[in-house]
Amino acid sequence: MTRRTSAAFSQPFPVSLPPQKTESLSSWLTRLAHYYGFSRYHDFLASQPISYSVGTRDVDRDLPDLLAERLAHFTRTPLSVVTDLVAAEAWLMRPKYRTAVCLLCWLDDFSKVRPPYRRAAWGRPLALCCLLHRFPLLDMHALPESRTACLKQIESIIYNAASASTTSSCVVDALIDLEMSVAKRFSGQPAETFLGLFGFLITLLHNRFGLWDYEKSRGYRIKLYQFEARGALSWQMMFGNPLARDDEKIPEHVAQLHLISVPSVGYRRQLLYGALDLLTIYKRNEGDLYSILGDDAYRAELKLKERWPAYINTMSGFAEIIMRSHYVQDDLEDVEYIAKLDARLEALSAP
Amino acid sequence: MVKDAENLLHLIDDKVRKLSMCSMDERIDSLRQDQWYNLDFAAKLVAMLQELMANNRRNIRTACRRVIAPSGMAKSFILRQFEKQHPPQSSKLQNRIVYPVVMLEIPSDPNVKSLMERILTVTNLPVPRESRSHLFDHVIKMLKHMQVELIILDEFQRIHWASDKVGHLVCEAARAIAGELHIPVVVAGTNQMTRFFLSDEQLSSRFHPFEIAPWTADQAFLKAVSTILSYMPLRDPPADDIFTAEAVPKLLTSFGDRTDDIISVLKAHVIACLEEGEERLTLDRILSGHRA
Repeated sequence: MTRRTSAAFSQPFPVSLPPQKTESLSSWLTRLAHYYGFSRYHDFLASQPISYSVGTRDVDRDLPDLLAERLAHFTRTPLSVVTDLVAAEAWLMRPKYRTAVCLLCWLDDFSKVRPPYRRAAWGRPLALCCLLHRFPLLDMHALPESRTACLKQIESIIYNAASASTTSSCVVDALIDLEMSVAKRFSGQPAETFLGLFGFLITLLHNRFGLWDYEKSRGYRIKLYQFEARGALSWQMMFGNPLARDDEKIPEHVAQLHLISVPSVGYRRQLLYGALDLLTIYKRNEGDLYSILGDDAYRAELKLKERWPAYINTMSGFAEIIMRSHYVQDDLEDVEYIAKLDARLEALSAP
Repeated sequence: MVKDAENLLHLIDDKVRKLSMCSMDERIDSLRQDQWYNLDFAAKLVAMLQELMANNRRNIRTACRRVIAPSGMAKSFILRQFEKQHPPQSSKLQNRIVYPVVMLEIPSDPNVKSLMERILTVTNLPVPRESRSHLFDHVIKMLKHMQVELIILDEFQRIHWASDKVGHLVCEAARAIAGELHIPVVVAGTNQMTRFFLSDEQLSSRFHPFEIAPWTADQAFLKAVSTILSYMPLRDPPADDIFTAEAVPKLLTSFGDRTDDIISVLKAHVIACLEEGEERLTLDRILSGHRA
């Protein structure tokens, strides 16, 4: 009798799920993994017949040739299509935080009878809004199972999904402008340059939210700040990882901390927070930027807590705030103020 | 005298006739390879499987079969040949590979989980670490997507090694696959699996038996010997005395009552003939037990 031998494993998978054009590699792998019964793509890749352990490697940035070949073979996808999914630039969030999505894009996917997938562009650190739908990107860890589930998610976040594109247009514009102007400013520059702006944001956050009483990693974070104060770690070492392409450049003791996500500041959220804050709360406090960042920081934060619910530190919370219509449009259409903000950012990010 | 290939009418077809004109080494090599012999019971089994696949498309209730045969009757070989006749095909329109027939041996440690894992393995699918029920649902989904039309579970008597409960669960899983996918499931094995099916009315009514009995000293046996010999690349026809009524019980004693034994004994004799420069198989050679 003829038995199937290990050679049978060289056959490709029976069902092929081709990647979408704008999809990120990790999104495609996740879809493949889910289809073949795995919850994580790491397990899917490590199992037979692909048998490639990626460990903590960020496949969106760095796809080994051998894995690319195996993926191309088993999924019957041209090798060039697979390799094109790897992000060309280093400007990506760390994998753990690469969870931003535009729910309206996913609704589109369902409408066009294609699987919902994560766009590669959503993984960029400055991606705040979907340019297509003018909808803020939200943190969603799981892909929706159905259009209804997707709609429910939207409804749980905002009261009127249909008005997403029209309400708070000024805020959305400001976010997009901020994203584009900062991206333009740093486009083509090495990741280190970004740290100038990043340092500004950290300073902002450090001053404003030094207590971090709703962050689990508070203890570690304070420790890190102490390290930094003593000159043991530089800001770049502590926060360089989200943008670093080559992990080898990071000292081992820092890499260890990275593994448990200690230096993470979830900075995209904070960036949005900062942008929102500067655009809205600033005016309401009737102070100027310096007073908020200075001695009044604690008082300002208390006011924030009074005004905004606890879940404000999530993207969903932001979306709810953005989409609520209780913001008077006139308050937000402060061209003069936005220009001031731009100038401030310009000055802070300059070498 | 060197014969022409056209004159070798005792051989089954031109392929064997052509082979018989080859050198001794080539002929011996070919004898050592697996060969399909168009025996009556094999043709019936294949026809039954074909009918099962064809009728399933028309019937609401899925008909299944259990093929019962003693070890050595070449049922696995025949079933595997049937699987080869229905190979996986690439469907570019649907961007998938369609598996008309999926055949597998049930695992040596049979239980529902290991059975599901084996199904995934033979269809080149990765095996997730899931619970039994999740894995079953996953396998059903995969088989649906692969448009499987027939599943053959070979060596099914292995459930005899498991506990009664586990054995019944495996049988139930086979029935559930048929029910969920509306496709026939064929289980094949020795008589040891029968008690699991007879103890459950639903299983026995769903899995109709198809029995292959060992050979007995009758005309069917003689016909089988004749058929097998017609595939052996000897240039002279076998001696007439092999096919007499008196020789039948002697041959059966010499060969044994299993198809595999008959074929292997005849092959050994033919190889011995070739090595000795003989082109004719005689009854004396067979009965004397003279082998290579």
